[in-house]
Amino acid sequence: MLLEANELVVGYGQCNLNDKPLNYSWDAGQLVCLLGPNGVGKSTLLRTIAGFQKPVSGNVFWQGSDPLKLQAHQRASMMAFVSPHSLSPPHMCAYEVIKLGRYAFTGWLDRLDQKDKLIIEEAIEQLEIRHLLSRNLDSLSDGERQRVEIARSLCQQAKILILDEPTAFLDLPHKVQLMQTLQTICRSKQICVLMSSHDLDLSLGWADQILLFSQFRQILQGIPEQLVLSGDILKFSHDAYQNWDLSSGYLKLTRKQTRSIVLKGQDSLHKTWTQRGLERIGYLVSESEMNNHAIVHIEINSEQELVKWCLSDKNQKHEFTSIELLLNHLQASNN
Amino acid sequence: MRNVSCFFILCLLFVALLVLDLRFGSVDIPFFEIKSYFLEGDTSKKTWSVILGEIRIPRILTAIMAGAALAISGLFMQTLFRNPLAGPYVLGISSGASLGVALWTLFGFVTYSGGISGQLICAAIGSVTVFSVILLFSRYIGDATVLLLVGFLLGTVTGGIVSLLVYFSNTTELESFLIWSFGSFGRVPKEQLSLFALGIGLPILVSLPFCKTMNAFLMGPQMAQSLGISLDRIRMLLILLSSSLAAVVTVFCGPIGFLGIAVPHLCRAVFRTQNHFILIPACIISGASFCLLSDLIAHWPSSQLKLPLNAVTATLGAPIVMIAILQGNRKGQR
Repeated sequence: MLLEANELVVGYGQCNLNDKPLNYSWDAGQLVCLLGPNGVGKSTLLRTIAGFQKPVSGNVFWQGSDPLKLQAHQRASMMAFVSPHSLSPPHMCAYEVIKLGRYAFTGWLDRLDQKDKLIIEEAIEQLEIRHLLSRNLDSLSDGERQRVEIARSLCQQAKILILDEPTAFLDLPHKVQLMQTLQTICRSKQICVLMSSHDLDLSLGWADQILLFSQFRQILQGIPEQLVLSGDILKFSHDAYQNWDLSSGYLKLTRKQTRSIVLKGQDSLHKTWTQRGLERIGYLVSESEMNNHAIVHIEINSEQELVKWCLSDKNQKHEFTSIELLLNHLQASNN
Repeated sequence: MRNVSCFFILCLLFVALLVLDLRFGSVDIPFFEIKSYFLEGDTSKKTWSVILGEIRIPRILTAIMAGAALAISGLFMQTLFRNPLAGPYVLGISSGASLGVALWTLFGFVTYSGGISGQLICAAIGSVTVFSVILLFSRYIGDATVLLLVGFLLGTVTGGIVSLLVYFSNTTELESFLIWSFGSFGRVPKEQLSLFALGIGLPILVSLPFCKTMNAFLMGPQMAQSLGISLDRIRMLLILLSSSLAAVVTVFCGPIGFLGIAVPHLCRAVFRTQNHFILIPACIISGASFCLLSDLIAHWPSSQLKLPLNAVTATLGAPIVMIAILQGNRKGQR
């Protein structure tokens, strides 16, 4: 096994973070996500597995060897760690940071050979950060910086990649892109990726294994689908996930809906988003006609690519050419 | 390319200052006489040869070495603490030396047995004591900021004791101590120059293989650990090298303020880099040039006026730090 935890208890001094000792083993090619609310010890577990912190009891093994007994430079060639807390000293450009990934493999003059350069190029390609290379670190946004750091960690070419909240500062497309990249690397390079996250959707979509942390010092492991089907993900997790929609896999938006409206028309993107718009401004939307309820009818003329929203309410009829006008009208008449 | 031209300009500046410092002083010696001193080993006037050989050249060599050492020491401290206000003396090295010298002079040893070398030994004992205490602490204190605070407090305690000693001393003792505390490049006897050079050359040489580590260390402890750096080892090494450089200079020249903080900032601003492979040579040349300039000003050309060295370095150094900080801020806002 590439990565093993044996009767592991983590924590600081008197304060243990898990009651039951942890026994895990993860193989190459697996992407493992740690999920849970703030302050339950995700980072502590990651740091312990990374060998930066002594476990309270038990052991961690990387390919059978204890990281605490390895030399610092041996560790660097087996494990790369991405922390959310690294600094941005002035006058340091992104390329210099990426280059640091080869630290353990260059001589004291820090010269890169052909192989080092190829590895750096590959990491730059994978994270699509070529345009950032000459930028100073302190001029990058948090998300850009994070991608630079992940590129650095890839340059270490370690068998174990540990990332503490890598998606925290990224925008949604980059989050998805990063998960995709991590999965690709995980599979193609046959490495084990361990990451913590707050993004339930992403973790369920990409992880091979999930470690679910509860607020009650318990940790549950399973494949994402099993955790959902057994209901553990709702039972075990904290309040924030209670609104989570099992059938779609996304967070359900719960709103106060005080008024009702009927929405008609053929199924289309326009209908879906009209429904979302109506829900957003506080309508409970139904399909079947009911008494005394206003009706919105969407007419799509596909030949001219024209869309019309017709509102019939108490014998009044209005027509709108855009969804914005419709929603504005409804909001204005309600006030 | 930028680096090469910056180095070229720095070297030109260094050579110019070197020649000017040889040329001017309380006695002006013409350029061609200096040339003939170096080429033929003598000048047309006996006194000029003596002034050059016995006073100016040892003093200038001391200035060059002290400048290089303090700038490097400051650079290492700033790297270690990742704090722009760190300098060679933040860990209390100079306060330790002052306490040693204060104890020596203020207990009435001024007139006793050849003053200078006694001062030297006391300064050495003082700074090495503080240095050892800091090293001892650094084994148990993982947090660099706490160490900085301990150094500061240690300096305050020794400073307090020095004030007490000063309060109870008489005028001659006080004057002798004050003169020491102003700092000077003229105190290293010709015979001890090689010892001084060894004390400065060795730590700088030892530091060279660690440039790469220092570059990576700047990114914070977590990244450094991930890259395969033993944090304890690099911390210890930086404290050891930086403090020994500061101690050697303080012992031989007295406390020379501000240069150690100012020069690394200046180099970073000029070279626009954090790369120690560039910063170390840059600090050596700029530190040496800075000391030559201070020495030139302290021995005001063509006059008997001698200014206290520390006053000169501080008045030169403070504006430099100010400009560097303001420049940095302006860049941050852009």
